[in-house]
Parts: sequence; C-alpha cells; structure tokens
Amino acid sequence: MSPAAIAHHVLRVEGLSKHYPGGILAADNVGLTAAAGELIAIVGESGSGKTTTLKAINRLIEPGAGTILFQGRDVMSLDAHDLRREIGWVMQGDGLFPHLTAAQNIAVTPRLLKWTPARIAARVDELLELVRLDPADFRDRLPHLMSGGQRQRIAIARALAAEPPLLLLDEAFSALDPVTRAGLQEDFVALRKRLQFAAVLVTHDMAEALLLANRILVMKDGRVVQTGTPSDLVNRPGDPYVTELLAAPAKQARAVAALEQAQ
Amino acid sequence: MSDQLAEAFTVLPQYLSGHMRLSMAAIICAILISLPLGILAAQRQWLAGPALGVAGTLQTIPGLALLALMVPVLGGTIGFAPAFVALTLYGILPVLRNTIVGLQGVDPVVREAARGVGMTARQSLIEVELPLALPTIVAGIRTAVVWVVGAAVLATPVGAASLGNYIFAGLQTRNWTAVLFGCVASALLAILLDQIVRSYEIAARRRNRVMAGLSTLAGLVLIGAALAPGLLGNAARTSSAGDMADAIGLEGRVVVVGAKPFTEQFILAELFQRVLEAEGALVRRRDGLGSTVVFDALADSEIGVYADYSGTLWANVLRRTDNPGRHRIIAETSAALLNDYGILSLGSLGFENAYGFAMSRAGADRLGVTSIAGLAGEGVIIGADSEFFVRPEWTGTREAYGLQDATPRPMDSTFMYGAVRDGQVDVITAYTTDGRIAAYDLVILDDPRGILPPYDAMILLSPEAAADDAVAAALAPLVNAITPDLMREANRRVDIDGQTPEQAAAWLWGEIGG
Ligand SMILES: Nc1ncnc2c1ncn2[C@@H]1O[C@H](COP(=O)(O)OP(=O)(O)O)[C@@H](O)[C@H]1O
Ligand SMILES: [Mg+2]
Repeated sequence: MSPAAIAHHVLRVEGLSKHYPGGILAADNVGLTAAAGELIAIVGESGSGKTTTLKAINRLIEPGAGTILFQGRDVMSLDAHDLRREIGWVMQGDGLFPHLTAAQNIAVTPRLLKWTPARIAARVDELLELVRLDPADFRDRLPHLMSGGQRQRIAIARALAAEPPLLLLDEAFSALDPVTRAGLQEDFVALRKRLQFAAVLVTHDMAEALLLANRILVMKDGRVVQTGTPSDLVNRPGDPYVTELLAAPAKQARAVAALEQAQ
Repeated sequence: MSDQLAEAFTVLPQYLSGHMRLSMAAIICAILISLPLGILAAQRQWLAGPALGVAGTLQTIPGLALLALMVPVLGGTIGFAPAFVALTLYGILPVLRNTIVGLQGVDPVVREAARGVGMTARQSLIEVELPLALPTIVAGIRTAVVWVVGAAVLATPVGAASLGNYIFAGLQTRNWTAVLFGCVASALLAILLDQIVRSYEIAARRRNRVMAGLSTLAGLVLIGAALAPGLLGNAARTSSAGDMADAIGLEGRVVVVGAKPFTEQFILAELFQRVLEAEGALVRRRDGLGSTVVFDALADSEIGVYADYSGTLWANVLRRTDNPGRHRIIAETSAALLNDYGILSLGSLGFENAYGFAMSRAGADRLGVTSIAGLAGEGVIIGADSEFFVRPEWTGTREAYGLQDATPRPMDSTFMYGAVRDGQVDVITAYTTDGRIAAYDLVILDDPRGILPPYDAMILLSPEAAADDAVAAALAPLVNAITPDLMREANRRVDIDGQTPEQAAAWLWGEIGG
C-alpha cells in the first residue's frame, strides 16, 4: 500500500469472518473502510454480527479469517494491548470502573501509556470540558453518583483520552432516554468536528445512523447487505431489509410532520 | 476468687503472646497460601473445585482433632509447629473461598472494559478485579481471623502456650475464673484483630492514607506485643537462674516439664518444677498435653519429664491386658520403656491413682451394693472419661461382672463427680486420688476379682534427660515420697478449695520435707 493510502485509510477490514463455537457464523466476509475523520455506522438488528465485527477490530475477539489493517498495519502483527491503547473503545453499557472516580476512569489509558501525571491531569480536565461536564464538579465523582447520560459522557471521554485516531462505539447512545440521547448525539457531532477522529459506530437505530454517519453498513445474519452514504440508502435501498429498517424512522418523521401541519 | 484472678493476670503476657504469635502467624500464612491460590483458581474451574474441596474437608475436621493429628504428621513434634500448621490449614478455606467468589463475582462487563482500554491480564487483576473483590476477600480474612484466634485455644493439648491454657487447666481444676478469663481474652483478641483488618479495608477502599497508617501501626504494635513478652520472659528467666549461681548440678540447663490435662498432673508438674529450679535448672512447662501426645513427646525428648501411671502405660504402650499384680507391672513397664524407648522410670511417687467405680452413698445404699459385682443386671448409667471406655479394663470389668446392660456415658472427668453426686449418672470411674471422693461422700466399690489394674504414678525421664544424672538426682527425693492421702489432700485443695496448683504443690513440698 502506498504511503498516501496509509494516510487515507485509518481502518480497512477485508473478508472478515468469525465462527463461534456451536457453528454460528457471526460475521461472514465483512469488509469496511474508514478514512481519517470518517464515521462509519454499522446498523442491523440484534444478533446480526455488529458487535462481533467491532470487537475483531481491536482484537477483543480473534477474527477467524480476513485482514484488518489499522493505519496500514495488520492488527494481527501488533501486540493486542498496544493496539487497544491506540484505539478508543466505548462499550455497550458504559463499562466504567465502578471503584474509580471520573478522573481516574478517564486517566486509565494515558496511565497505561505512561504519560506524566501533569499531562494526564491537564488532559482529564480538557476532556471533561469537551464532553461538557464541569471538571470541578465531576472530577472526583464515582460512577454510581452520576446519571446515565453523564456516565456515557465519561465513557466517551475515557475512550478519547489518549488521542486515538479511531474510536469504536458499541450502542453508545442506545440505553439513554430520547432527550438525553439527542443532546449527547449533538455534542458528539461537535466533538468529532473539533477532534477529527475516525469512528465505527454500532447501532440498531437507523435514525441515529442516518444522523451521525458518513457511510452506513447494513448487516443481517453476519453479512453486509448494503453499504452507502445515508442519502444512498434512503434514495436507493438495495435490499428489502434496508427498506424495512428505514421504514421506522420515516414513519415517525411523517407522523410528527402530520401533527405539525394539523396545528 | 481474686487470688485466681491475680494468678490469671501474672501468666497473661506469656499465654497472650503465645496465642497472638500462633494465630497471627497462621493467619498471615493462610493468606499467603490462599490468596494466590484463589487468584489462580478463580480463572480455572478445574482447580477451583478441588482446592475448595480440600479446604472444605479440612474445615470439617474438628479443630481439636486437626491439631492433634498434626503431631504424628510432623513426626511427633509438639508445640508451635503442629499448632501453627493446623491453624494455617484451618484459616485457608474462608480466604480461598472468598477470593474465588469475589473475583468470579466481578461483572464481566467491567472485566471486558479493562481489556478494551488496553490493560494486560495482570493489570486488570491488580487494578480492577482485586480492588472490586476486596470487600469479599476481606470478609473472608475476617472470618479466618475469628476462626483461627478461636481455634488457637486448642493449641494447649499439643503443647503450644495459648489462652487455651487457662481454659484447659481451669476446666480440670474447676477454676471457672480461669476458664472465663481465657474465653474473654481470646474473644477480645479476635474482636481486636477483626477490627484492625476491617479498618484496613475501609482505609484501602477510601484510599485514606492516615487510616491505613494507623491500622498498620496498630498491627505492628500487636506483632510487637506478640514477640516482646517472649523475649522479656526469657531475659527474666535467665537472670533468675543467675541468682541461683550457688545451686549445683543443673544450672543453666533447660528442662521441659509436661503434664496431662488434670489437676493432679498440674500439681505434680509444679512440684517437679520446684525441685528442678532448686537445682538451678531453667524449667519450661508444657501443660495440658493429650495422653498419647505427652508420651510421644517424652520418647522424642520434646519434653524431659512427666508423671504417668503404670496401668496407663501397661495398656496403651505395652498393649497388655493381663494383670500380674502391682509390682510386676511397675517392673515390667520400666524395663519395656527403657528397652523400647530409652525412657528412664525413676519409680513410683508413692501413690496410686487408679480407676475406682464410685457411687454416691445414697445410691449405693439404695442398690445395696459394696462391690462392682452388685451392679450386674441393674442397668446403671456409668460416667467416665472417654479414654476409659476404650481401655481393656472396661471390657474386662463388663465381662467379669456382667455389666452388659450398663450404659456408658463418656464425659469430661471434671464433671463426673458432680454428676454422680447429683444422681445424673449412677456410677463413675473416679480417679482414686481425687479430693472430691471424700468431699462428695462417694463410695468406692470393691473389685473382688482384681480386674482394674493398678495405676502407680511413676516419674518418667526422656532419653535425653536420662542421659544426665543430675536430672534424676534432683527428682530422686520425690520417689515414694507422696502417700495417697497427701496426694488426695493436694488435689482437694485445688478442686474444692480453689487453690492454684502452685499453692497446692508448695503445700505438698512442705509436707514431704522439701
Ligand atoms: N461469545 C460468543 N459465543 C457464541 N456465540 C456468540 C458469542 N458472541 C456472540 N455470539 C452470537 O453471534 C451472533 C452475533 O452476535 P453479536 O455480534 O453480538 O450481534 P449484535 O452485536 O449485532 O447483536 C449472535 O447469534 C450471537 O448469539
Ligand atoms: Mg451487540
């Protein structure tokens, strides 16, 4: 691969397959690329293989077949721990360490990378402000003393702490109530604009994908049924399943529009 | 009463420090074994099952038996080592179980988060899993502390000084002040250690340096207290030996005096100590040793001297069941002990402490019996120490006098005299020198067929002590010096009047012209 291509693609997944014991083919020849600063959404119903695909990228599970290149390097040739420290990870559920304060949670990866305490402290405050939480108020708070939305903000701050070029998010906003989710999604867009990291976002919510993604991968039973920009999908759905997924947000939008006209 | 309390306090430093040394060493060792084992087993089910199984099985062995078993396991060693090993085994289960449960109870989501942020398995363990499992692990340590400190009182019968010395000696000498004192002291120690561990946990959880420092300090003070009295005690003993520079024969030599757990033995041990110290020996005491433990300890020269009874040795050591008469038994026993074990018998102390079938006078009158033969067919309940019912003389008596319908009721010898007096049992196998026979007006039944063997008290020296004439020479004045009446009176003074064994021994020494 040419140096230009390495700079261009933060992530390139080719022919990824994963068999679980018991014969389930959770990922079947999945391919995707993410350019610097690009957000790829993986959409599909529960059990379609989204999490499996995502975890193969930072080797939380070992892929069965295929190649995964992170910044042009084959992830299988890298030390798995080093790899994970270079990639931000927001897991399903917030996954905060319950015995650590917000600041300590955020500082975890920088500490593993042996940053100086001063640099870590400065970075923690910077991130708390980026995710719009008052450092003075939140720095020393334990997770159980925060709301779900606040915990999710800390989880995102933790994932971004070591300035990763790539962020992996697994249903990061799914567990939140609609108002909190909308607020966090908005802030996330702003955050990405500022920090320019690439991201792979797993979600079962097509509306969220349409709102946030540059490109969307629709998965079903471990296979990619369509890849395209949000407008590609909306205007040229290539599969009945995609149409079905798009129906729900479209129906909601129509219902709201109708009510507004009725006013 | 206050005499007994004062006496209890004078030996407190020795017993308490022994108890603390033993239990703290065992707890620390139990933690050092079970924490790493628990960490390994938490991730390996094939290890967790067997490890918990073995630890759990050890736990079900009664503490007293586990401690006693360690003596033969360690090749006959008595004292600190067997007690330490047994208590360590005893402390393993709660820490092991809680370490495994605590680690396995960590939310898998949190464990995955640790991997996801780039922690190695080791970092995840140290920084995430152990801190989250800490409260459970500490709960296990606290359980171990309470168990081990409590079980450490059982170290007395295997020859390690502990607060159990109060309890075992108190039980046998009917000194309830001492029993209570030992119980309260060990309970207080358990509570204190438990609280130190607890405050440590709180400090760790709150990351409170001051509190952690204070808990560490408290722990160090305790460790210091556990070690210091032993050192001070040694120094004191050495200097008192220095005062006796004019004594002859044994100065500076250490002689360990053993005793089985009952009044007469404690008095005799006091008497031996007195006589040996008069010759300048440094005397150590191992009181309340189990019947076979004490003999094995003598054979291994773990102790130097104690008194045992010809009938006991005849049955337990020589494995003989016949009864060729008092003097033959003494002679043959002495010869066999020297031959087979290198143990030197100095001869009889001058009295016999046999088993005698005793009844209350009212009970004997009601049945109209004066001899064991009269008990046949009466369906009596017989109270005796548990040792008696496994001895050949019980089988012998039962066959000879037709006591097949009698009900054996094993109990601690302390309680049998009161039990027969109050009619809770009909007959007891009293020790014939016990002061309570006269005090409770008990009647000893005749043994017309001579089934019950003689039990002459004999002074026995270990092979090592026997090698030095000075020990034998020092104890020689006691041979044939104590009449049955003198021994009975000395026992009575302790069991009825509440004197200490030391006071009774001093009286006895005065009587025999010391
Ligand atoms: N560790 C595993 N062992 C066996 N099967 C698994 C495992 N993890 C996931 N699966 C199965 O693989 C399929 C895809 O799961 P997943 O990637 O979690 O889907 P999604 O995230 O889209 O809900 C599902 O059928 C799931 O049951
Ligand atoms: Mg999933």
